[in-house]
Amino acid sequence: MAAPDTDQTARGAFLKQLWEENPIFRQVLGICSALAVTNRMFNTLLMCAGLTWATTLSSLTVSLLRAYTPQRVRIMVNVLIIAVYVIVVDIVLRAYFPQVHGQIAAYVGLIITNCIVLGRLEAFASQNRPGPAVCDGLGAGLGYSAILLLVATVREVLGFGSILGWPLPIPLARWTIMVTPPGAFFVLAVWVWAARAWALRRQARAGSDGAGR
Amino acid sequence: MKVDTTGPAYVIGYAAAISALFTGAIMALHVATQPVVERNQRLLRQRALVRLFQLDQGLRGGPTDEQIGRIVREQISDDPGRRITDPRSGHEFRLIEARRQDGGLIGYAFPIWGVGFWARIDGLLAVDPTCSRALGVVFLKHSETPGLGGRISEQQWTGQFGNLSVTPPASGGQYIYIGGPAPTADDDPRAGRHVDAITGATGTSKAVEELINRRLAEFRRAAVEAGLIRAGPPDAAAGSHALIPARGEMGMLAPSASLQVRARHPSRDR
Repeated sequence: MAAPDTDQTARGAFLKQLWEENPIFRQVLGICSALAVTNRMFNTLLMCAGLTWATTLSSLTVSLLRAYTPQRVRIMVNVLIIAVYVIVVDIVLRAYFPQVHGQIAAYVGLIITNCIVLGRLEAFASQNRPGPAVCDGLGAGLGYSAILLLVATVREVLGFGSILGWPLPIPLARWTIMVTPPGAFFVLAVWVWAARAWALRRQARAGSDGAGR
Repeated sequence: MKVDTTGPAYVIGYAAAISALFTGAIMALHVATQPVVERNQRLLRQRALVRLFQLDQGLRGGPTDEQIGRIVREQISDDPGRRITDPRSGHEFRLIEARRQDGGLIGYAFPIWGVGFWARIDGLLAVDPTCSRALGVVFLKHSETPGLGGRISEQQWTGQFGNLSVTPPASGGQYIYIGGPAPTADDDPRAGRHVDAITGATGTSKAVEELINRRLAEFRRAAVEAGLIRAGPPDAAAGSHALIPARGEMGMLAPSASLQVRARHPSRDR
């Protein structure tokens, strides 16, 4: 679980989730979906939009209800709230984007069990005012999305020779492994390594206050 | 402002109220969107049928919902009451007919179903009036992995099924073969019956192969029983009118020779 959050300003919460405490490469949460949905950028975009929507709005709702929600049933209430927002996504997709629904219906439901969402509700939204809570949820969603899109871009280009379904004008040999889940392990690991190395270097350059994680 | 949230009555009342509120909201949204969802499902099926029989050939771009509706009204009879039964398995097949503008029979479509890699797969298979050649296949409902097995619903893959031979195979053979090296010789029992598997989705490919072969055999028996087609002898010389798919580079799903001509997006996006 994430370290206790102390930064309670909206801007601070947002930036912290987006980069410093990025769910994927810092907290290593939500890896299951990061591996599963990243072989095509289009599917990834939809999954990211769904997750960002779910974290943001469930953070808002949990924060608004935080004074009234009993400690003993808070997990049940949180999961219910997440489920509601995820089912809304499912219903809206089914009604207005049926083709898209056919493609990613299997994954939409899985957002409910994505550890990032419940993690943010427990760690932040349930103890903070609605403004910062929304920013925290949004930051976590976008931070997750940024890394997933980086992974998806590499996998789609190498695996399918296309970007967002548009074939690239250069002939590339397709890497079958990029299409299959193991490909995600390699690409994700490389990105996490790159992002961490870059963050560490920045810290070292800026750094005297010993925040060296 | 601070409420005592520790009493059992409060806890139970709160949990019940929250559950009722949220599930009520979801139910309301579900009911409100139901007509749109049903219309979408109808349209999806109609579009699938038009694509299956390639009735949208003369139309430029993607046909509109109105055009689809008109084609279905004029050329396709999709009467739920019209069914034929396989005497051996007892399975009923809803029989869909497509006709040309001049009234000539294009072929039949019938439901195919079976267990996929994750869950049930539902689709339609179309054959010519003598049930010797496949016209196409379309998958309407499945839960296969998006990007992997989920690609069974992509036209680039299903396009391979058009023109496959579906005459009764020689003993020990199959109606169609999915995956494995492409047949190279004309006397190969798989010639004219082979499509490439989906890379990274062997389970789905095998499941589709299994369900299509089973339903084809059942449909053929049902069609013979209903007098739609004659019981033909098994295919002695398979592949006389074969379209032999080209071997994919590196064993990956590659466009077959026939697919490159027919597919609407003969892209490398596979």
